[in-house]
Amino acid sequence: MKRFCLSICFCLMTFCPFIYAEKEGLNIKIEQTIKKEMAGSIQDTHQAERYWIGAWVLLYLAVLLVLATLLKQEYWKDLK
Amino acid sequence: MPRRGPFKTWFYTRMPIHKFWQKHYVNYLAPKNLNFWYVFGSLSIVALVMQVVSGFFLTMFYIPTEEQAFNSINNIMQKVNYGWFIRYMHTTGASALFIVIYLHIYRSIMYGSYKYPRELLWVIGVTLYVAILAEGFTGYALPWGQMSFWATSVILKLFGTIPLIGKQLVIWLQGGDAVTGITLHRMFAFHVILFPLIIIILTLIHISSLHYVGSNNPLGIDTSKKDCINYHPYYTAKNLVGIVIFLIIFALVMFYKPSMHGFFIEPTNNIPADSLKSPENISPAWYLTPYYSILRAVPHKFFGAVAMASAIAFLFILPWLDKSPVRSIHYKGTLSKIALLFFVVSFLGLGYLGTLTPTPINIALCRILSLIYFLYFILMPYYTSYEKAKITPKRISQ
Amino acid sequence: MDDKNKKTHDAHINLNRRQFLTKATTAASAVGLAAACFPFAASMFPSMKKVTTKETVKVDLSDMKPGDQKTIQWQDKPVWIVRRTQKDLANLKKLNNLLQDPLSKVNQQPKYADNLFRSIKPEWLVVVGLCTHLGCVPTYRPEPGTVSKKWEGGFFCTCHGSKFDLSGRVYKGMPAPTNLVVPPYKFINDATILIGRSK
Ligand code: HEM
Ligand code: FES
Repeated sequence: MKRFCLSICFCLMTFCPFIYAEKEGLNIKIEQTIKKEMAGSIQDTHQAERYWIGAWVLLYLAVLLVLATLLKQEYWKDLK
Repeated sequence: MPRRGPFKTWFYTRMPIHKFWQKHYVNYLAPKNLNFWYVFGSLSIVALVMQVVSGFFLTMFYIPTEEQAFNSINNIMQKVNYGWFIRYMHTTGASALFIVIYLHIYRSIMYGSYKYPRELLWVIGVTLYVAILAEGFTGYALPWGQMSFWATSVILKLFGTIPLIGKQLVIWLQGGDAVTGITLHRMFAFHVILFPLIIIILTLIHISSLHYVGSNNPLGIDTSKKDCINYHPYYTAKNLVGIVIFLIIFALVMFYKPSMHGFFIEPTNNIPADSLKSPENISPAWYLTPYYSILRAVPHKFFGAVAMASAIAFLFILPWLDKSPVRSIHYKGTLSKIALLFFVVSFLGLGYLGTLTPTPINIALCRILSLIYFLYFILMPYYTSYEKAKITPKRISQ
Repeated sequence: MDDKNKKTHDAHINLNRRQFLTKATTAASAVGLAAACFPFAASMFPSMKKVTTKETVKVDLSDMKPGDQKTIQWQDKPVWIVRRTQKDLANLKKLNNLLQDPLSKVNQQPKYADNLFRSIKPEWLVVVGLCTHLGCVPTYRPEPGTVSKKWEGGFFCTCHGSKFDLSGRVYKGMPAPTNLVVPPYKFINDATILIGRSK
């Protein structure tokens, strides 16, 4: 039960990246126009997209974590 | 006998791969008390597969020439569809693989997994570690940024300290008097063909030899069948949880902090290589820095390199230095516990110092920590036979 | 665990729940793996910034005499321009029953080139010089009788022996299934064409 609650908290936490992606996306547009002038070095021009995809990936992994945890507990009942 | 369709029957009578699968996975008997420290072996495999896949796709877009290497990385980051995803997976994956391996090694040291009958397994493991270090080093060269260039140059020059053949050896390795595009091109060949092949083959040997001698466990005691459970489904399920947690941490870094404050991708390496100007502080990737610190600690060219090499060499002979009658740290004496603590602190400290500029204080600290590092090994035969080990249980309790 | 213990224990295990969780986890993992393949597969497509389908090429025709052929590069493919002679044009009318698709029914050309000469102006042939079999570049063989006894001039693919007439129409019984492709093009003036755009 304790673990399950932890998982739920974890799930809720996974929404943080979404908020982060939303907020950062705006700043990045401005930064990128400045960065374009810094030619000749490796630039990262996909930050906004990266944050968004990251948010979905984490959400998915959170769901998978809950499933995996339940599955593990289920099988390990055999050993009790 | 499970019922099988005609195709499976035809196939299995000619090639019984199901037996291999069952022996090494489904029916592999593992002690039932394996804790989370035992997930790092599986995680190494996960990380290794991620490296192979992302590396394969990077190879499609990367160009291993002096003129094009840096630009092609830039192209991957900006123009190739999801190129940033592939590259960040590879850069984060490299560091993740090392973190996982270091924890895996720490586990083996902690629970005495290198002791009888697993000495060879351990030696193969250390060889794997060396191969992975080489893989990391050659990969670090490929973006051909400032750090790539200078770290490659400095590390290759280390071979020059070998008496008699050293000078020629460096010319041979570099393909010339200095590090050039020729060197880069062979780094690429090593990184994408030779070392991965060695790593994969050694991994297979590593796992099959583990399955011959059986897994150790946190108590470090010999286990009988009664203390063991099938790997599948019990450890499949347990490791899956570990894998998902690993992936969550991985995703957090990869999507939100891929350069990890300059540890996973160094800012200096975002500037193209310049053979006329070294960056202010040359340091290799973080996973090599402990050895780099040891090199810095010794004020002599040849003996510095020797110290560095013997830091790894000691790992190879660890099974024969440990004279303790028990395996696990739980049942060893206080001296062993303190020694292990000092060892971990010295390794972490050396790693950290290796990323800093070599000021006099840092060098002094490097010397102290290097001394501790070596004393851990050199004194091991004495403290492990001097101290009194606790009595181990006969079986894993319920 | 010994067998006896296990049996009493088994009674407490909910097999349905176990099966459900196994299936759900497997399915979720499979979905995740499939999704993870996407960026890798996508990387192999040309990126937006490299797509060249809008590229056009201007070609000057003023230096071409009747019977001349020239190859230019358009969107990484060879495009042939042939200035056919009056005799060539007359020959084209006689070949119908030797050809696979004499009336160009298969859509391998823009509307304005859907005619006997497969071109805007009969004299000028513009086709993509890639065999419709497996994409070799056929050779230009204008001289009659060079490829076979009855050869009236045309294109011959040396890879697997496909023959095309001087309109790029494929002969019957060839490995190539269709006529050569006519790209979109237009005349800017009498001596210049623009390949890649119709208007
Ligand atoms: C690519 C690198 C590696 C892979 C894929 C790998 C994989 C594995 C796996 C799957 C296991 C069984 C699960 C476990 O006990 O965690 C294992 C066990 C072990 N590995 Fe590794 N390993 C790697 C590197 C190393 C290295 C570098 C060392 C030592 C320097 C090492 C030493 C051992 C030992 C001693 C065991 C047995 C542990 C025990 O039974 O207590 N391995 N390895
Ligand atoms: S490619 Fe031309 S005949 Fe096969």
